Amino acid sequence: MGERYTISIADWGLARGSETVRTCGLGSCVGVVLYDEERKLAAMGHIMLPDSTSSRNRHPDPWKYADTAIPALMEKAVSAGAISNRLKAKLAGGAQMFPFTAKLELMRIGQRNVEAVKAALQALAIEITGSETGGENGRTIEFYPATSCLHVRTVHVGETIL
Amino acid sequence: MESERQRALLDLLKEVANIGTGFAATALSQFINRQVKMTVPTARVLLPSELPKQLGGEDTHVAAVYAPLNGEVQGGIFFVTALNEAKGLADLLLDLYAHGSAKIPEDPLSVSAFQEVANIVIGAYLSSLADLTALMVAPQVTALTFDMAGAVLAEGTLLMAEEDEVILIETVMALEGRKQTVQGFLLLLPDRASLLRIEASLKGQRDG
Repeated sequence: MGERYTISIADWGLARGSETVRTCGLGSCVGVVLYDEERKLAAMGHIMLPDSTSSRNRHPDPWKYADTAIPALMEKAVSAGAISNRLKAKLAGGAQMFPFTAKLELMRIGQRNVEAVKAALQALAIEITGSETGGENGRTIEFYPATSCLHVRTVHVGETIL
Repeated sequence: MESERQRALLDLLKEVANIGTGFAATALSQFINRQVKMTVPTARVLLPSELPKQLGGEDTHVAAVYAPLNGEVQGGIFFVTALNEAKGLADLLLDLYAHGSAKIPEDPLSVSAFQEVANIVIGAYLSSLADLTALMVAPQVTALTFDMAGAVLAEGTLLMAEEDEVILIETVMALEGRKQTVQGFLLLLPDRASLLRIEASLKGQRDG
């Protein structure tokens, strides 16, 4: 078993071969993995919000937002040796931790994050090969480049493999 | 990381918490007919990403009650504890009925007992904040969740995504005749404009 890298919120990380990369406690955030199956290489991001243009900050953190994090993640994967047109994506997250807030547009953030991530992937023509999104459960995810599997664990439901 | 100005504000907010927990302890004591003591050992300013560590890490199983705030203080407030501590709190209430150990989240009575304690703590803190600042603080209906610390806290701090910092107020509860104390955290998440209003008002009260 290789190194196990853990990334935090609005963060990213790489794993190759027998290494793994994971992130813990995704709620409305979305965890995205871009992977090159042949190179056994993957880059993971932990995205908080859909759209950097809504930021009041003049220099928003690109890893926080779907529209900027996805292209940045692709760049990291490619500069680590992945072939861009071989990249595929798996994603998980976008839950609604407090269902009563679902009515408020601002708080439908989980769903909006998922939509923004999917749009950003589509814009780069990256195929989504697996996803588990929505619901009301937090998730911890870990990606294994050796098998291209994304393990998704929730407190209440247990583990699924994408 | 805390500036002098932040420390001054934290001292004021800790004082608000001391008074608020005094109310909460009295309310709880009357409720369960045994003396409950509550103390506020710390008040800190943290980055949202540092929050889950206070509770044992992003995938620590926690119990959290969240109330969105409206009025002159906008944002939200959390009462959050590690799951074991939530069971301890439910025990405080259910002890009366010799109920054995609380089962959270399986047993609705235990869950309801925990939420009631959280509501009392949140309500008492907000009353004290409203009293001392003379600001209108209007909590919305509280919501309860049991899940991973990272997942729960990220949602509450989303409104703060641009605000960079949150205020953490630690509370410790002790029940008469029990050795074990229960630790909980109040997280106050005012938006920037509200925080400035709180600061101005508390300083005005202190200096005037």
